Amino acid sequence: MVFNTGAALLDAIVLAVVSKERQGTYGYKITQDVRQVIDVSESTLYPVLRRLQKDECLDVYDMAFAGRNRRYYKLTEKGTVQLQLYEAEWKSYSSKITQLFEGRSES
Amino acid sequence: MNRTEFMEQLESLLSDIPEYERLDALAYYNDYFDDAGAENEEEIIRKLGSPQKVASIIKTNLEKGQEHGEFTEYGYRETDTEEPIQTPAARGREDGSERRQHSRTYRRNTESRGAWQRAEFDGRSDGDQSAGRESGSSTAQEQKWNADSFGGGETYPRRRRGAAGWTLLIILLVFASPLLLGAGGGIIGAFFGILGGLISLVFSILGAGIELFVGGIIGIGKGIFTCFGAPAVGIMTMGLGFLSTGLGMVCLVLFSWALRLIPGVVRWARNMVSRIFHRIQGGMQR
Repeated sequence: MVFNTGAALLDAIVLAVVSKERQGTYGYKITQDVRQVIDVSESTLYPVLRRLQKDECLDVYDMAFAGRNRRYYKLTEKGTVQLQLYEAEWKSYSSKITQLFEGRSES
Repeated sequence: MNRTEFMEQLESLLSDIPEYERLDALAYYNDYFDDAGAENEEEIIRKLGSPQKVASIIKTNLEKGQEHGEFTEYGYRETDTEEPIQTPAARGREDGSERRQHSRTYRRNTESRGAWQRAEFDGRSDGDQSAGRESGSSTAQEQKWNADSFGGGETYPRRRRGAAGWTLLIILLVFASPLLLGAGGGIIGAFFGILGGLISLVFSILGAGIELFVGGIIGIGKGIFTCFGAPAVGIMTMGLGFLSTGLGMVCLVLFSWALRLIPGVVRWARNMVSRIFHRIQGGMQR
């Protein structure tokens, strides 16, 4: 991958992945889903999740699964709003770049 | 290494962070191993890299708090990314081994940063078996830390130069002491002599002022008395008395001005001296 994924974009991707499940998902699954989209190492995701949790964009709760407690993350209201902001920003940002590239290839 | 060993090492590496953060992180990664399944244990360990890498990522993010980027020697850089920096400078170094060498030159400056960073460097070459992207990912982190240490390392050479500079100065002083003591003593003597002269001048103005003032008043008094007997002489005496009192007052005013000036003069002298010293220090640091 050529372009760096900034912290903000990574946050946005994680929020988007978690938002797919209304009941929330757990760390391992989040990591696998994010890695479908961008190439990050397994150890990167935990700090992002932790920070989003501290920023009150994500809530955590434990649910019993196969005889142990599994920690689930889900989006808060603030997280939903944040995700919408990120999506709007991304649209604007990526479309400008796309226009630039397409404009160049025309001339 | 198996999962238990990995988690034990991770736990001890995290012993210096707040308990809540440590427990949270350990729970996350225990969950992670559980969810991956026992059959994937080895692969997960390989992908995580090493307990050192995981621990340092956690700690870096704790320190960072709200910041999302940092300034490295490649300019402003977003953190938390795993891709290698594709700047013009780095682009030339496509080869991973070259990048490792580049990082190694920075390593000199990281030595004071603590064992866990060094251990990370070693751990990386151990756990690094997959192709490009994994080595790229850990290198990017490494480059960030090395960039950090490079920025921090910059202060070290300067401080060392300062210490060496002082040593040289001391040696110079020892060798030059005969000349310095002679000429220096003369200069210092002159300085204090002038200072003393000024101070005594100021105080003699005070003395003169008091004398003239008091003498003048006495003269006025005497003059008044003499007026009864010999008016002309009396008036003259009074006149002289007034003159004297006037001069006395002028001297007293001069003295109060001088008093106000002295702190300024002393401060100026102190400034000159410290400025000279700083110029010496600065010259050495350059």
